[in-house]
Amino acid sequence: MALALSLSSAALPASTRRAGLGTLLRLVLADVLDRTRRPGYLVSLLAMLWLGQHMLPPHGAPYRTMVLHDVYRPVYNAAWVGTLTAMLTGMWFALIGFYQVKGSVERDRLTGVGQVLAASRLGSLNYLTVRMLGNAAVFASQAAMVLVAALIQQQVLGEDRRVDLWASGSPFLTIAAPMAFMVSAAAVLFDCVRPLRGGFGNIAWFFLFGFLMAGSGLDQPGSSTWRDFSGARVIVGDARQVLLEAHPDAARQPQRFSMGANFNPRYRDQPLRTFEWRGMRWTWSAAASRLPWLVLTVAMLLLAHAAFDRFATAPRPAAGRPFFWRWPGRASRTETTELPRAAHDLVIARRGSAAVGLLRAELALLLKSPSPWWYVVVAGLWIAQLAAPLKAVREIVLPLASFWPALVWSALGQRERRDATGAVLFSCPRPVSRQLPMAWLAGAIVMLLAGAPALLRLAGSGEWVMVGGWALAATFVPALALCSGIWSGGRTLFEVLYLFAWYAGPMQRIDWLDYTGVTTARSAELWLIYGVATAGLLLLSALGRARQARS
Amino acid sequence: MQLVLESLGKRYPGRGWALSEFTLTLAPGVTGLLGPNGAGKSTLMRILATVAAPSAGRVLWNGTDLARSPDSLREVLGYLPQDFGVYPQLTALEFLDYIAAAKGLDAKSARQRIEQLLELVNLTDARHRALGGFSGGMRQRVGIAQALLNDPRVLIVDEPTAGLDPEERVRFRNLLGDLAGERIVLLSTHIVSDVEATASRIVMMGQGRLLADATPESLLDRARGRVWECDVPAADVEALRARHLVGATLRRGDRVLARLVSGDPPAGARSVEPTLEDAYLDVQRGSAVAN
Repeated sequence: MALALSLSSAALPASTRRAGLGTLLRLVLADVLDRTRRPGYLVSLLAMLWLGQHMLPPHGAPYRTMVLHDVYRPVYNAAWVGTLTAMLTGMWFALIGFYQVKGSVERDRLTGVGQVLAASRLGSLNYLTVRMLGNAAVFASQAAMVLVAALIQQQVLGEDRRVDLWASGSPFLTIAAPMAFMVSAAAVLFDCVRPLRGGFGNIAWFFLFGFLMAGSGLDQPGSSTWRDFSGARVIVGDARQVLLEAHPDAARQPQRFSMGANFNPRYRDQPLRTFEWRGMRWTWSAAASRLPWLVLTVAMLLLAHAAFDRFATAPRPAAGRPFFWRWPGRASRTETTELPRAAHDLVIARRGSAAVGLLRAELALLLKSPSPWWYVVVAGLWIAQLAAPLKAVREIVLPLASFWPALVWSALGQRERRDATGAVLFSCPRPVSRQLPMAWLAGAIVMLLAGAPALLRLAGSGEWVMVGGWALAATFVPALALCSGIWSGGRTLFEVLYLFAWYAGPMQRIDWLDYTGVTTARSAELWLIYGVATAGLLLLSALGRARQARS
Repeated sequence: MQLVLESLGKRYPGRGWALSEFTLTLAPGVTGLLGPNGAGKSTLMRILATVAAPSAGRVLWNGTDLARSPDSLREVLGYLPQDFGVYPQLTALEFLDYIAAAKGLDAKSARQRIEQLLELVNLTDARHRALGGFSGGMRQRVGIAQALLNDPRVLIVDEPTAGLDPEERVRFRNLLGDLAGERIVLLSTHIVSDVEATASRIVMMGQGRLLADATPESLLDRARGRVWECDVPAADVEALRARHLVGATLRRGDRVLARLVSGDPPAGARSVEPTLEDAYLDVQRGSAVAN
């Protein structure tokens, strides 16, 4: 696409090269065609379709998704199926879709197409608008397919088979579209602001999403609707009103609202009571609640424009070395006893055990990429591990220490592709059995180092189970990073997966996701599961690398 | 010592055959691989470097099938791919040390060779600089150095002089000539003069097939009597191109001295000694006519 974009721009006659609406639409179309042909698009779409289907549990399902006042839900009619699917779609765009569309400007920078565009008469704001609309169009194409699937699902569920395209489709315009635009603009903004382009931006968005969702006031009828990021607040408010009109006795139930997937085998025999909801009754106030997000879209686009350097910076600036890393031992020219006059004069390097050298090299590759400030934080975490009470170390400091190297690990498995070193490395002897284990081991050492002071204290206190838990985590996390990097070809998959696991596991104490093994007491089954998962991930990594090496 | 390619083919899904029925035996010496873009040169190089598997046929290294035992060749292979990349955070010294470890070389002796290689490719003064700050030509020289780390018996270099300045190109040509003795060197390039200066054998490719496999002398012999020069008005050059394969042109005022390859020269053309570039054009034209 990038090439197509540059060509379509360059091919325009000079007199019409100023971007008119037609030109912009052509550029957006080229962008969409390119991105919808990427494997990630299909994976994301399939996940959305799967999730959309399962958000509408049929009678007898052992789980519930959206429940009002503990025991009610709307009938699966055209309006509710469309609305619920639209809400889910919007949230998917915000949480996952952002990572899917982020990077379009950065890709132009890395491929050099940006330089071509920068030299054309395409204005910066127009360029960024094209990119934002491209993101939104990708979302729109996915939303259209989700809507079709929702219509089919409505017929399959069979509670109310009346087809009403407006009732099913309009929530995608009112609920999902403002989110899609906002997320699209945010992705462009993150691409334009240098510190937010890479892994740090991925993490920052995750927390921003959490902040926006927490501020939505989903279950707080009295809260301001302008904070209703997902649109669920006004929808739930209206549905609740309809429920109380139809079933006044529902007021006696707790005013709880839950949305998500709550599993309980008892739910098979306890179907929810249903009520008829025929679609959102939009009021000026409800409609106005969607406007701030459109305004924010424009504001972010303008911010992106202000931050956009029009590709003036080099794609890969010379990396500085951290202040103390010097590897290998600094050999001076005088160490070379005799300089060669010709190629046949060179000394012959002997074959030998290179495992230690390779491990040292892999470790250096991981540890040379972060800035000195990253090490300052590591030092702070080490001090906290030594100084804080052991309980706080286990529950707060170690989870933080397990998270901090996430951007270091995310290079594993994909840097051969990112830096185009694969061809050379894979032509070396035993590319799978020699280099891959050392890369994994280097990642494990990083994890052990991140928690080293705490591990010493835990060992001193006889908490060997915790030490073992962290050691298992040190094998699991880099295996996950390697596998994600090798199979996805990028760093984002690991960063997103790890963020979710970290937030839900060590931070929210969901025991089966607590990969660190130190914040909660781990059952024997979980030890086994994490051990098997690590082995499985390593096996998958080896298979993926073998495939890469002979592709 | 020989590398045998038997009926080699490579098919990419949706793109058809990039290489087909390619049979060749490589022996010590420099073999130049010439062909236009899309001829399948890089695909062939990738298969020989064991980073791509053939869809048909096989490659034998001293009788061993590489599909079964790619490491038998990897142990003695030096490979400079066309899209050679580096880790920008590492210095030249660190990067070469890393590749040496990946090749299974002993750290101490590898270090000494690295120092010498850096001297050889004229990067000694830059060896402690991060590769992210290197120019394209400097990176290419790092690429050449890494390909020579294990004293390879088989050296496969894909467009090695891309990005090098004229002085470095000459230096690299001399290096290849120096290495050629007991090694199989396969040099793929667009620059005919690079091949002319170093190769004792030339393989020409077109549309994934072998078009010619000969010494430079025999290729020149084949083209002799088919290369012409003629002086025509500038306005007639397009008409000349339409009828003949025109290579180099030299503008002199409102006239153009054109060099062309043809079996049926225009009136007034005079026969000239062919160059390897003429021979290349002649072979490619023959292939195009045959197709």
